[in-house]
Amino acid sequence: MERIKNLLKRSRLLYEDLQTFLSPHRGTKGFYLHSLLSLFRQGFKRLKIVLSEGGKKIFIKIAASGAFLLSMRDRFPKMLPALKSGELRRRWASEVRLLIPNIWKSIFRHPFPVTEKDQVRISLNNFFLHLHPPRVKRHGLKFTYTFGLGGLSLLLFIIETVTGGFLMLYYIPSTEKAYSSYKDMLFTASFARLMQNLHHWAGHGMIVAVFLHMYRVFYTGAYKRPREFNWVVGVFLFVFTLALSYTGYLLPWDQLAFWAITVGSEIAEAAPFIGEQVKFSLLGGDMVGQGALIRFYVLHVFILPLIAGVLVAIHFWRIRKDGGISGPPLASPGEDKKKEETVPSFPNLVNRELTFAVASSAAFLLLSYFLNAPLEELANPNKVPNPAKAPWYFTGLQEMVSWGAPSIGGIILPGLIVLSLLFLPYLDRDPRGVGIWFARERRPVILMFTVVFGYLIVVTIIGSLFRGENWSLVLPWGGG
Amino acid sequence: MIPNMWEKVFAISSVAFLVAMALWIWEEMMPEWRFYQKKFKSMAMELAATLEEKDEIRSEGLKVRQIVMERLNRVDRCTTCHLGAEDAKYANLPLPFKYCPLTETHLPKKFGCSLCHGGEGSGIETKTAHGEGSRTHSPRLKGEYLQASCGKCHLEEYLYAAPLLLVGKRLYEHYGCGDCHKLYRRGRRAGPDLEKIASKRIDEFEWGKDRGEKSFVRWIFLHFKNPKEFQEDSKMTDYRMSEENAKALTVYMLSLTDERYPSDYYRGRKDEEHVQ
Amino acid sequence: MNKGDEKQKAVTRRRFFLITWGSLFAGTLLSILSSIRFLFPNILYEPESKVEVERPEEYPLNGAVFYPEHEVYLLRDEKGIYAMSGVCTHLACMVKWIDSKKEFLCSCHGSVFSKDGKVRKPPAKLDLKHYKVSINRRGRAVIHKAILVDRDFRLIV
Repeated sequence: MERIKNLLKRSRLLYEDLQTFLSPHRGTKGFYLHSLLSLFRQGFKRLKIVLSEGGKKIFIKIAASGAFLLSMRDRFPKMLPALKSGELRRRWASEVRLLIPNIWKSIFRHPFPVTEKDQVRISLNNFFLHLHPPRVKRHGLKFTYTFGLGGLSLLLFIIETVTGGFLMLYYIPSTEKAYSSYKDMLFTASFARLMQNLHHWAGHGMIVAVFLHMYRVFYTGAYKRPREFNWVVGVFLFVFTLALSYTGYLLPWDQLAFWAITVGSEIAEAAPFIGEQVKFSLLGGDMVGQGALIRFYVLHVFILPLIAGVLVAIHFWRIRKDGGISGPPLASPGEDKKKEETVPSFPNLVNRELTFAVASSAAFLLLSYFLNAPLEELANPNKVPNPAKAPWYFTGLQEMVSWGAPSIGGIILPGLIVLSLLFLPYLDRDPRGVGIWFARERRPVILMFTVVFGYLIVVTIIGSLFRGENWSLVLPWGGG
Repeated sequence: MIPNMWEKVFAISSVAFLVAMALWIWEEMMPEWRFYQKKFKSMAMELAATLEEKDEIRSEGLKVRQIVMERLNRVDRCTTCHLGAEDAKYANLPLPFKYCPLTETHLPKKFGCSLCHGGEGSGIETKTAHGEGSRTHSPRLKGEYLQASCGKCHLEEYLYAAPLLLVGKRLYEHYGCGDCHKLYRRGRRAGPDLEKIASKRIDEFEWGKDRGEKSFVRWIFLHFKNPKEFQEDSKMTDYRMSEENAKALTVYMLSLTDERYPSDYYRGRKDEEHVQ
Repeated sequence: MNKGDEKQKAVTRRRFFLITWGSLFAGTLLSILSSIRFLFPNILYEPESKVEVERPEEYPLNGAVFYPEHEVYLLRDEKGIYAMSGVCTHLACMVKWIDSKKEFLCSCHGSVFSKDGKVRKPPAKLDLKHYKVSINRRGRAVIHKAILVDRDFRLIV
């Protein structure tokens, strides 16, 4: 008895499930199947209508042309035996059978490269792989040499572009709607939290990656001849990365955004001679308002990515032209030795790049799952948070500005640092020490760099963590 | 084969990548409201009398529901979980599915829910929608404190259903709060203005060294009980109020928001005309 | 290191590639699918699909009432009330009810529909859609724009 009752209950549930499965209501399981089926139904309906009216005429035409062709069969004796013998049929059948392989071969013209000769060739024949040189130095593949930081920067740039593009579909760059469209996105769109968080953390991550990449290139002496200009392009890319992050920072239009940009624009105003003009053109006015928002938006989604993209392309081009990843000079310049120290970039480089990309993406996806992008309340020009801080990468500047003479701490000093970075490869002409970390011959310049950037890091840490209300010194964990 | 270092890293990363995406997909497939909607469906099916009703309930999809009030520039998504609020049939269901009797006179299409109940109506998770968290500017009013919302639109003739609010208004005069606080063109300015007190952000109140729960009700209530609770140098007199009085005054304070509606929303009270 | 140790650390080539490339492929597929899902908003700021209107008795016999923001007509004949979409099936202009002739005319290209929604004159080819009507607890008629019914559907008044 129990069994029968159970069976009845289960069949009833199944029946109910089936009903919802085919339900036409958005939100039920069967919605997509139902839409598909109804598309077919509509198609048949329309076909019926078309046929019923013009169908008769079409059928007559088809019948007439068929009859005409049949009457002409005596004129084409050659074709008829082929049809009768089945040769044509066999030919067509083989074409159908070979359809998939033909499609595959038209895309992938060469077989999967297994021999070394093929592996080298594919870097020349494949569009995506032609960015790589056919062979790379074994030394450059070592993870502990480059730590994949340049590649990480590129990956994060791509992630930012893709997530940014998606976010643009819901975000509205108006002071009235920016905050609410940002918040509402979380309620109205699936995976909005993923897009927002990933965009936020990949953005910060990119600044860290680009910065560490610069560190790596410096400490391995990879800016020396012939790579000076590539270093210069890299410095510009660094500045553009900061600019991209800064312009994006304003877009949520919350208290954090509004006041960070206000502080930043005040620092910009401290530039000697041109400060006021720079601030005025950045903000489209004297205050952070709708003008600033739309300018920052356009800079962030269009102008800066475009220029940065071109710079990235030049940066990659120069890597190839300058002889690939830097490394210590070859043991002996003989032909055979050279072959020993290089390997085909497919698959060795490609595999490493792929692995690293997957690992980093997984890490950022997991990070975005557990940590939300911070959002404070709606921007309020009448309420100044205390303390009002610039974004973390500028808090160092803010700290220096707080010591007095804002133009020195905020503009001149950082400006000098950027200038000295730009001129570094032209001032340090000693060709020794390329390709190894902390080369002994480069001690003095390494010391200078470490001191200057160590100072910047310390000052940034103080500004971010150790400054509280009214910019007084506090302990980051409360009390003070 | 024995995988080398890179191959091991590749394998682990690939699986981690899949796990990360699976986490996201799982989160999207299991939003909080889905659980509530399913539960409500089964309860409503039991209550449904006719086959037609059952059919209609079954054919309702699981989706976010909202009330859009264009004139107020508001969206309320409370009905995503509070599914029985508009139908008297569900008067005996437990929260959150219970019927709200005020929808008889205050049509949800016109008023929504958050106008009276507070909270952030556009949210679809409990925490966000109920206005919990330190950055909220719209507290959700619970229990007797709900009466405060009546004062946003109604003058005294209509406040028979909000006795605590009426008492609060009387007590305001009784304690002479206008001697130090300004409210609607009356009173002096020794303490903060009270006109839009209930629309302040929660962290705009003086919390001092207090580490307890940050809520409007708590602050205002404790402030009446002991003005020096959060601010030791407060100049406000301690009236040694009873719990009931403090509650009544809190209710009155909570009715003073900066929200203004089109004129047909008010009964017995015009937009800027605040007759005490 | 004996053969036993080696066996423990080893994995078949097939299994290894299945795990790595399989997870990668699945993960990438999931990312693409979720990005596409992101494009379809879950909530729209459009009028509700259930429209609450007047009580059925209040509608004139053999007449039609138009609700512009919902693009829907409510009609009544001797059999009861019924609701139809006011969107012309040709190119989606709004049809107009001509009371003297008891039919719908679309002023864009001249399509004509009967009071049942049947198409009388081209260029439209399909009939007007009918929506389900029911009565709610307040005694008002409710038009369900998400539920389509036959042209014979009537809610008995």
